[in-house]
Amino acid sequence: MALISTSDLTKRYGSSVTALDGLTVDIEPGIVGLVGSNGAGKSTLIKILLGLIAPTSGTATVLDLDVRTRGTEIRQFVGYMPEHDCLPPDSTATDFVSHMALISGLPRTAARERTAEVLRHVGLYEERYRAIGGYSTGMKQRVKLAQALVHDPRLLLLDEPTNGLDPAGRDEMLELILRIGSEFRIAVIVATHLLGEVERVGSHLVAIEGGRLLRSAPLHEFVEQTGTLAVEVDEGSALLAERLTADGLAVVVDGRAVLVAVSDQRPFDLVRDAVADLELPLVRIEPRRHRLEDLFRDAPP
Amino acid sequence: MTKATTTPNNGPAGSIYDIGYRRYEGPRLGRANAIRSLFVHSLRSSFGLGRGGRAKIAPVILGILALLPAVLIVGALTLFAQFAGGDQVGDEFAAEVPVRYDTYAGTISTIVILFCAAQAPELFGRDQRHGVFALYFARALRRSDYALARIGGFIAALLLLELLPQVVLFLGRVLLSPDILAGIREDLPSFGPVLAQSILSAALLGGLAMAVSAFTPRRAYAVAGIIALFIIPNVVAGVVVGLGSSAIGTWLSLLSPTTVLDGTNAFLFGTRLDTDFFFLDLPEWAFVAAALAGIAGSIGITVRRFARITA
Amino acid sequence: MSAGSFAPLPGAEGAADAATGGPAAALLLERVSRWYGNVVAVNDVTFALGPGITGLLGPNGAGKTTILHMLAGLLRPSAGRVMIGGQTAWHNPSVYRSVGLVPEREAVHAFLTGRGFVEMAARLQRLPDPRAAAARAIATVELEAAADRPVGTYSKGMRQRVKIAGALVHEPSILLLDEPFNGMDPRQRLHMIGLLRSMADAGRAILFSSHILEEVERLADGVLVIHAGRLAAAGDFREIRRLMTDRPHTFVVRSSDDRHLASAFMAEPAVFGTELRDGRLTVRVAEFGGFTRAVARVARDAGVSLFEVAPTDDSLESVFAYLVSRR
Repeated sequence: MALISTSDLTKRYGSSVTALDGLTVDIEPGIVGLVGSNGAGKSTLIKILLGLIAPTSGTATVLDLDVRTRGTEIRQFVGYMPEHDCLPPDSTATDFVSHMALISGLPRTAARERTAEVLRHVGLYEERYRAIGGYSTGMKQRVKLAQALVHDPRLLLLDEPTNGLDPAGRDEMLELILRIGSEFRIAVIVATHLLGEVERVGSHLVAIEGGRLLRSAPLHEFVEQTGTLAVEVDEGSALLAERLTADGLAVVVDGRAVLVAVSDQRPFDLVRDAVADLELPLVRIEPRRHRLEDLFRDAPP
Repeated sequence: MTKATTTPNNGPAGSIYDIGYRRYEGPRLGRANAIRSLFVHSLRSSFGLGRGGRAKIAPVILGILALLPAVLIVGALTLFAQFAGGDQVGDEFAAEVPVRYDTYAGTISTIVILFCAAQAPELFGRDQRHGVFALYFARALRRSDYALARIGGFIAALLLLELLPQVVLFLGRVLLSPDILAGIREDLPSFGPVLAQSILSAALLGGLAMAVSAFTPRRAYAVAGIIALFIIPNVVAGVVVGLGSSAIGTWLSLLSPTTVLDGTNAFLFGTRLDTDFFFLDLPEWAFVAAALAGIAGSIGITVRRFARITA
Repeated sequence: MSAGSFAPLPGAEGAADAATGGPAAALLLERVSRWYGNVVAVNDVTFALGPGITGLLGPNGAGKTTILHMLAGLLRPSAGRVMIGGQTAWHNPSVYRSVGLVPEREAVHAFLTGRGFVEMAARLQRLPDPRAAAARAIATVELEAAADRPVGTYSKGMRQRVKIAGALVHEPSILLLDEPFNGMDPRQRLHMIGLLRSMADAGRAILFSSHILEEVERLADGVLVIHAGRLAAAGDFREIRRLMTDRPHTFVVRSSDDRHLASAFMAEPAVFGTELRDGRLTVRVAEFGGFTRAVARVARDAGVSLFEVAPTDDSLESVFAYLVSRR
């Protein structure tokens, strides 16, 4: 059974703004990248899935529970990490996450234990005893993640988890998300507008555009090989292109790379020998893959 | 309890324990527990507990001030009992003491109002200002639960604030009276009204203060709003009465929480209202009715307000 | 990728001369520092930039915003010179005319319409026809449809675009952007990248700060890396990587016979380590040039086919990580 299933899900605000327009999609467990325009679409979907707002029409189920009628149950098994700031500055991380654990229904001792564990898993050590107001953005994001994990949810909804983080922080957060999906084995949905992140941690992609479904498929279907080999040499690209064409290959020069069409094994040795004969410095031989953004490049505005 | 999944990797001289992520398979308590936790959290928060050092200053000072009259009285009684001895003088003194069970609430009314103005804005204000609603509502907690738990916690705090001094007074008087059992018999009947008055007062002032706090995240506005709500109606009523329309003025005074509580106090203790300010007698039940209406109304408005918030 | 005119690494003679000899560098910082009491936000930074796109990178709090604001003439350097087109940037109205700044924080009143905001910017610049200029700028960022709605109703990406329109309305030759892609969805980003590229190709000097390194890698001709107020590196990131001789390069290879190839590699002086793991061959290389010239030959002589060869840390991400970690 699909983890999340929507059918013709629509949400309208008044008569002018349509946030979701007949969205029908099934989402399987894994790490799912939810990509799309900023603003109403993704956040609205997340709120409907959490049972926080009611759809105008259509249906949605999470873990086989209807969002309209069993919202409270759904929220017991789901952890939510909002995009915006949501932490009180005068609490310590430990106090706050324990408090949230209690509200989630954990008994007092379990709440304390799990808080301590979860803070360790997200990488907060001595800082956890200081007030949140003094934390860096990276630390605050970790606290947000910790409160979403503390009650051992079956599904995690992360809304722009790398927002405001510098490259090192983004890296760490993405590693953490990967661990949660693979090691902790919790289903994760990451709403993001950064395709690079989805390519890095996601196993599935759900792309939403204008409130409708654009594509939904396992990631490998998107980033499959294009049948082109990219060869990069630090100097002598023109020479290489000439030689390979002479060898009978279909060759195109694209910036730093010499692109060779491959349909069988033949070109590989031809390329190798060409580079060796010409004594060129070889930096790269790589099959070209589709990039996720190609999906959006061709999308209607 | 969390189930231990330690899988020791045992060798002859050492072991490695798995401290990876553990699933939680213990009990998950429901809505009632969540409400209770939030209630306790609000009660503690009202006294600044769990919020860092600075948050405790105002409530602690106000708490001490609220206790002060009781402590002073008990202290004076102690000294008197030591030096004067004999019931007669003690009884005379006790009769002269300006602070008694039925007047205590009035004595510390300013303190209680200040406590409301200082602490009520924190309870909703913090969550509003920092966007914490999203995290509460993403859990198995209804919006109405949230509002009621917070309001309840604050009212409980106020109850503590008002009741504790009276308990101190009671204990002091009882323990210092020559015959403890007689002392208890004498003072105990007062305790019913004391409890009732404290509950009404805590509920009304607390409910109103929290209602104001629910409508604005900005602390300054909430504080000003609460103080205004408690003081202005009284002033307005007085002005109207002074201007000549006593009837309207007196009924208007029912809009003033402090006046209403004075009235219920009188009703419960069977004393007469201090009529310096008020020229017509209002039937005593009017005050109680007004109090109950105020409580229900303020709590109702607050709960409705939260029902509409989208996290 | 166009070459862009890029100053060599700081310290080289060329940098200081850039302002005096030849065409005036569009942007110049010369030994610039900025402090607030004991906090040194920018510490002795020197660079010069011309037409093209440059990425300004650094951890949070490294001093990027301070540098951008000094270039825009909004902040005065505590030491050193900040020059735009040969003139001092600070408090210089003519500089405001040639520079457009898109700040990171919200700088637009929510009640103004998009068009209203851009027209206001045009009027502040004393343009002869503010309405037309605003319309052009709005068209450039593709915001016509929403231009007459209050900015308060915009999504984050739209707000970014309206700020950019405001900074473009006077057609400045220099554009400074602080985290411009924040909040934009993939399509908006692609469009913005195209826009910046075409403006740079037309001769504008563009400097933008960002945390999203994969985009900087694609869009920028070169980078400036700031770490704790100091300029850690400048230029093309691949060049920078080559210069990091204290960090050995690593290559990943997939071939028809990894083990045989590995032993052949170990005979090469440029290679000091090989590792066979996860079905791939990892080669640790003492000398980048030596290895790249040898790899095809060694494979051919060993009779092994090469299916994939790739440097593992030749990305901006890795270069950046090295730069901000080692000091």
